[in-house]
Amino acid sequence: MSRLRKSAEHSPTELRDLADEDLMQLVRRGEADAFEVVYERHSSAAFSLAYRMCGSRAAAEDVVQEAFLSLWRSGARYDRARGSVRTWVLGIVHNRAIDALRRSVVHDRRRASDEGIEERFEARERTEVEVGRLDEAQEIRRALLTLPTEQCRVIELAYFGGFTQSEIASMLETPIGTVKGRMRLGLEKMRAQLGGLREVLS
Amino acid sequence: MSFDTCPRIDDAASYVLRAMPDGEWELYGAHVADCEICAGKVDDLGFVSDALLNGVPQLSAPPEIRDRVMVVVRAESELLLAAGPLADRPIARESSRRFRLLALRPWPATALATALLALGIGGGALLVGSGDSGTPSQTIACATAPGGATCQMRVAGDSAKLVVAGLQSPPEGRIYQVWLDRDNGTAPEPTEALFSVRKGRASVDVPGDLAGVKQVLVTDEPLGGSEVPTRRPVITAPMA
Repeated sequence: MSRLRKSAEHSPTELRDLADEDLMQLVRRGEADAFEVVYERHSSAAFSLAYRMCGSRAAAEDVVQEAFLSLWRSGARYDRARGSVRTWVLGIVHNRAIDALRRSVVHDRRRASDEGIEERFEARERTEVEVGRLDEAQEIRRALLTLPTEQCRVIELAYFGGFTQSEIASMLETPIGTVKGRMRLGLEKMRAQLGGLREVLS
Repeated sequence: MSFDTCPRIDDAASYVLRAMPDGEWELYGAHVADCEICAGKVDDLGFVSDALLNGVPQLSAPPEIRDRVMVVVRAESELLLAAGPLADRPIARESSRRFRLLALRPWPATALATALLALGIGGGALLVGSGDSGTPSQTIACATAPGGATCQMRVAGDSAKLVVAGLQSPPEGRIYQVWLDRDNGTAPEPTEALFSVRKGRASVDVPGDLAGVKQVLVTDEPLGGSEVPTRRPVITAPMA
């Protein structure tokens, strides 16, 4: 691919014009400037997810830092056939946050969140792409919130709370089979609602 | 018309939401690799879980995270780029003779062993030399390492560093963890040293009190590490 010279041969503007997948080829070669562009593009989404899961700024910062360093060191394992760089990045953040939650220190305090952080850190400047993503994010949240409460709750507890299905069953005093069923039904309903986003997010 | 014929298909939702405990999650992942029905369901529902990642209220990342990350990234990038093509050079088997010869000349051995490691050359020798601060140092080849990997333990005074090359990345969702195995019959002690590899390479400071440590072990563990090893060691490195 001729346009993929070493990043030292690209100006910062040229690097910013490259697609994520092309940047990842440079990251694979150890190019820090290319990695920095990937970081700039996805760090806010990563922090938002980590904060949503951990509930505190300090824990979210740790998760994001660990996730991006892990991403830098494992860049060669990105496979574009399995999805976008953004989804890959957020998947790593999600895994890290789940691990942090299950290590319990974060779990204990996740609901004692930093009140008002949304105001202090809410993103201000939006590019066109970011505005589009905000719309997608709202559509996804709407789809989640339109689920029956019990389905929404088990999905939230599992995916953003890091709780296992047994823990959820215990918390809700519900048979584990019911918890699994609610998760499956909820996801299937969301899939039906969000089908139009599949192309956008892949 | 199709039928769900796998009794485990109800686990697909728990799997994509990662609502299973770690061991169970990996077992189901292995099942999915062999079961078309569950694989199809995981793919179907996985789109929703991916979408959920993008559906949280958006905040700006505090700038200090970027500073911390980029300091590490730039330092590692410089090392990688300085190594140039040598960083990916395959193991040069014929060089073991040179390695043995170097063992006969203790003073420059540590520095040269470092250079040899950059070339991906393994060896079973114990090299004795001196660290930067004049502290006597030893470079000890690991007793066991995966095929194709080279591994050395560099011990200087009361500190040690594990240096590996040619090591495959840990499996998806796992990370390498360093353990201290003391010569007292107890289970290996966990350390906070968690690492992955970059182009097969890693250089890891072994933390903790090394007095009485017989060997250092490395296992792959769930991200975040474990309190007790959950897998057999991929690396065993004697301390003497």
